Amino acid sequence: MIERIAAFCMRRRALVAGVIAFLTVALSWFALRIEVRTVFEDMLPSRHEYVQTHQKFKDTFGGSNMVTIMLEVDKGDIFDMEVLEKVRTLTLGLREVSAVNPFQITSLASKKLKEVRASTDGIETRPLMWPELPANAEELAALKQAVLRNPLVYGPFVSKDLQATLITVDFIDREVDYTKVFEEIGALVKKVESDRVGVRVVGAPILYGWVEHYLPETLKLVATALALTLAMLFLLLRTWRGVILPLLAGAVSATWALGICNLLGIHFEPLVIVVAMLITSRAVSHSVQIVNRFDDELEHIADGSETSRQAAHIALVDLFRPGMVGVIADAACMAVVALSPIPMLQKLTLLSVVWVMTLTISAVILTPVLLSWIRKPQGTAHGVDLAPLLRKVLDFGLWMALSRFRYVVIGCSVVVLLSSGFYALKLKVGDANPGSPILWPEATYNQDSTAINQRFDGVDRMFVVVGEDGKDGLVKSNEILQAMNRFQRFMEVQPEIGGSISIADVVPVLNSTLREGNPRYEELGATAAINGSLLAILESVSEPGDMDRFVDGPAANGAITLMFRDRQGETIRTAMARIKEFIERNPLQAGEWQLAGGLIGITAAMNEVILASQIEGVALALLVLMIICTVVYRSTVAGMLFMVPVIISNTLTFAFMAWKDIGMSINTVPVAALGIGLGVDYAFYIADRIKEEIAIGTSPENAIRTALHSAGMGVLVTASVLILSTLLWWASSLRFQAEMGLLMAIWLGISAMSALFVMPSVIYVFRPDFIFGRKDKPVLAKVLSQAH
Amino acid sequence: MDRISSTVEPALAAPDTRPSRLRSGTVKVVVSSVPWLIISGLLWAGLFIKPQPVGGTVQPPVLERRDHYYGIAPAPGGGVWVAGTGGKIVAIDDQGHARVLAIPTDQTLQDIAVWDERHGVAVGNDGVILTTADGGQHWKSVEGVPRSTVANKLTRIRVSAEGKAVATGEMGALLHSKDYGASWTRLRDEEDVAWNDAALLPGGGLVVVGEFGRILVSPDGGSTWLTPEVPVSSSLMAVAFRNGRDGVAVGLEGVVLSTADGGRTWQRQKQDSHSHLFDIAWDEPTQRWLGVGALGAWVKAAAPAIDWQGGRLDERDLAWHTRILPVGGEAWLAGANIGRWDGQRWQPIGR
Repeated sequence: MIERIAAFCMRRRALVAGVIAFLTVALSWFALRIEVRTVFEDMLPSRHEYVQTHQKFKDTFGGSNMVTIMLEVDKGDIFDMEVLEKVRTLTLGLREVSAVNPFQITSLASKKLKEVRASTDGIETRPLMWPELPANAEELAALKQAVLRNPLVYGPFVSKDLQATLITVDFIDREVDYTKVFEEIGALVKKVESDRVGVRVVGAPILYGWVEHYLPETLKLVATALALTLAMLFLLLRTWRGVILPLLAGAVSATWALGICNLLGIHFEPLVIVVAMLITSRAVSHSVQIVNRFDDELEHIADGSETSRQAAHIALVDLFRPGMVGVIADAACMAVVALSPIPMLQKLTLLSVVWVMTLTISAVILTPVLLSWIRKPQGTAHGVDLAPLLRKVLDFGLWMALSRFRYVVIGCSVVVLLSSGFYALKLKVGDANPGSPILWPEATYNQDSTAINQRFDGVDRMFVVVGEDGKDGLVKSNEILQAMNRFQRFMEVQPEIGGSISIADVVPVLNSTLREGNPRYEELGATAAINGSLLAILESVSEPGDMDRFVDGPAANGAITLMFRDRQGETIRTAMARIKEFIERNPLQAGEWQLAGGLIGITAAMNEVILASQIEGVALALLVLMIICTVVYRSTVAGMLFMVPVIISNTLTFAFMAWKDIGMSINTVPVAALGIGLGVDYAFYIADRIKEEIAIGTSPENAIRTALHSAGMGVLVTASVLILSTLLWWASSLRFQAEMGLLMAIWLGISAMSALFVMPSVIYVFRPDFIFGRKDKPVLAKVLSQAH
Repeated sequence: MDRISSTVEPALAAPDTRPSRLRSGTVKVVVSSVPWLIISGLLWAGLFIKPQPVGGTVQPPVLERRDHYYGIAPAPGGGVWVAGTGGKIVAIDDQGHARVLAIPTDQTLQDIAVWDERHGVAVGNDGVILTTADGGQHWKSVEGVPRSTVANKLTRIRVSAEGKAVATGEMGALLHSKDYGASWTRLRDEEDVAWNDAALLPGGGLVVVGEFGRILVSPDGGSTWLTPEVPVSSSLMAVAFRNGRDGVAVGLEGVVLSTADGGRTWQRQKQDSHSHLFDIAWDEPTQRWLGVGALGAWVKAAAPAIDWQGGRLDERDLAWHTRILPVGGEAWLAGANIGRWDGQRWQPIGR
């Protein structure tokens, strides 16, 4: 079968190359038009309870795309015409920003922040600073007093030290274009920023705006990494074909993958460039293996006109199986990620699987086909020969496998496996650091986030809804109000929760205001009647939309908004567990609790989904791998054997993530899944070559020597080249990419090391039948035949 | 489990003997079942293991963020007791360490007072009165407290020697006890005015202040009542005397009134701030009046109570306080937060 494919490819090489070239050109037209953007909705596991609550209430109680702007002064306070003027300019300017929900702009200068006053004439409310700024010093002083008296403003919107004030703005989720919002808000901020007044901006649109802001830098890094890869290949392989063919393989598969995905209507997330790099590195690896094998074969073939063609034919035949198995294993392990209910991961999986599958054409077939045209196969392009150095490394691997040291290797591997496996249990789901893990701690965004968290209760929000559809006015009932109040007290005990707000906070303030500002009445009314009349008063003096933050239109559902100082996985898990604990301990007569919206709510949903599928992902990927190996080599032992390098590289990488506080998140899951397939590629080449050598009657020692020096050389070259170029990512302004680059480098390093140093020892010690041939009939068959 | 490779059968196959064949057969069965066990294990793990999130545990602090402590009293063994939100009574020692003493009710407590080492009393919302006879270990809710059908919040409790006590509150509540709080009687009939504080003068006199600038004076402990002229009509929140004659009352909008004849006549004193004042106390060791109120406001004056100074505890702490308790040259404050103040420096406790 393999022989027939190879013969066809060589016989009709012009046709094969022509078809591939045509398809590449055609697909490149689509590839160039693929959309590069982050679509927020795609990150949500839409069937998760929290996300459903979020979707249902986000327009009322605040979405996950809220942007928070803080104006701060170093000296004096914000009750200063210059600062207030800027607050007003920003508040008005925000209305013009695209996709802004104009009813969800809240600041001192908006109509929404009001003062409730009780006087002899009755109750009145008036906006604090809308539509006009204070006209004189008295009005300014009055504004300050009004703010100080109002706990719904003083604290949540004006910092306790009076040196900072917040503007919050929410967006219509489905219309948000992060780049646009980022630029428009950036321009607004630039207008008001001055030496005295600092402006800080945070929120999901800003964060992803920053990511896209760094896109040019990311592309530069891609180009540099590519250039470094090619330069290193040229240095180590010393031939032009060793540079151009891997490059071509990578380019062709990228074009095909992006083109096909564009046709399927999938866009490209800037954050997953790392995954793209990873797959391209697979293309380069496979191609280098083939070129390397081709070079090896040349040495054994006498000079003649058909040399190249023959060598290419052999390379194609011999590497077809390990190459195909490698590609299919990669794709299958990656496909397991598609089980995740998060659309972004599903799309990414599709992209990756398509991409990886294109390697079957671009690397496994195209490279040998093109090799067959090489005119002067012998000779090198430059005089620097690093091969002896590399051979020393390979000889070391050989010595480890063949000497008594092999038992030490196996022993050490077991120890490393167990200890790293144990340490890997500490791997956390969700972000492991405060601030955004996508950016470095010193990035503007994270600094802004820290600054706002220091002055206010917390930037990131979650809302929990209590009530029941159809039961109008339920939120006004005493039971619900008391439950909200108890819930807030309970939740605020957690130090990472800076504060919370609900309608149950408004009622006590109103109560106290009506009692001449007597704090002994700053509490919910004792009876439903009192609370009902307080709320009725509130309604009579407020305008439609004023109470939106707290209750929905018919007051059937109310929200409690919790402010979080960070969104570390641990913080969110603890909060969710406590919410559930509270609900369980405090059953409601009427109405029910609905979890949980806002940025933290959906992050909780994503984390829970990722956590729940963590074992599933790894276990099923390993299962798929084992089945593929079992089928291809018709041996269950093969399945077990190839799990060794995979498990070692997995546990080590997870241990590294645990050690460096890189959490499992929507961003790291795909890399981890790809890593499983990645870990096994190198081992395939080595083991397959040993098997080939044994098959033609070589002694085990010689078979291992040949395998290490040929396939091993390819592994060593590609691993060292790719490790160096992925390490380049460390220079990225995006921490996420830097860490993923490092992670990939480690993954490549470990899997190369286990393929070069551990696998030969394991094979030599255990002598599996599928490599060394069967000394006896299969045990099961014999047992069965004896039974008859 | 066939193999596909075209490997040549090894030329030298070891000749087998029967017993070792059997043994190696068993071993092989075991060995060859291992991969299947692993496969089924992985399948099972992949399909059925769904880790559930486990949150960390959080120990609630003694003084919680949303707690309001309306009342404060010197604790029998040193330090103070504070009482407030949700019926919480907390003991704070001189070093500022707080521990929950008891939560005998879920009604918010408005004030707390002690007679001696053993006896104490606390009052609060819905007419709740709690007493202790064992230094705060156990608190008992008093039955049979006179109630109004309209509103029953009790806001202040004042105690004097021999187990006497007066509690003030909504709907004209002015309750009296002579037995360490075990039983209570009304001193006046129910009326639609809230009495906010009462001063128990040496010799049995009683001065009560309340809503709408109302003051009552009883020279005989509640049998007869005088209603002196009061120069303000805004609510008075607290009253205190430094002897049988000289007293000060404070109230909303920064009102300060003084008397030198046991409450029969009152003069308004000039005081710059218009922040509400909620409490006033006489500090014997330093010979000064001390008052606190909304937005971190404090006032002080020397014994004649004429020349008043005022200010904020801390520019960055604008919390309100309903009680001030002078102890050993400095003062404890209770309200939206708790802390100590020595006239210069404000040291909040617990956050």
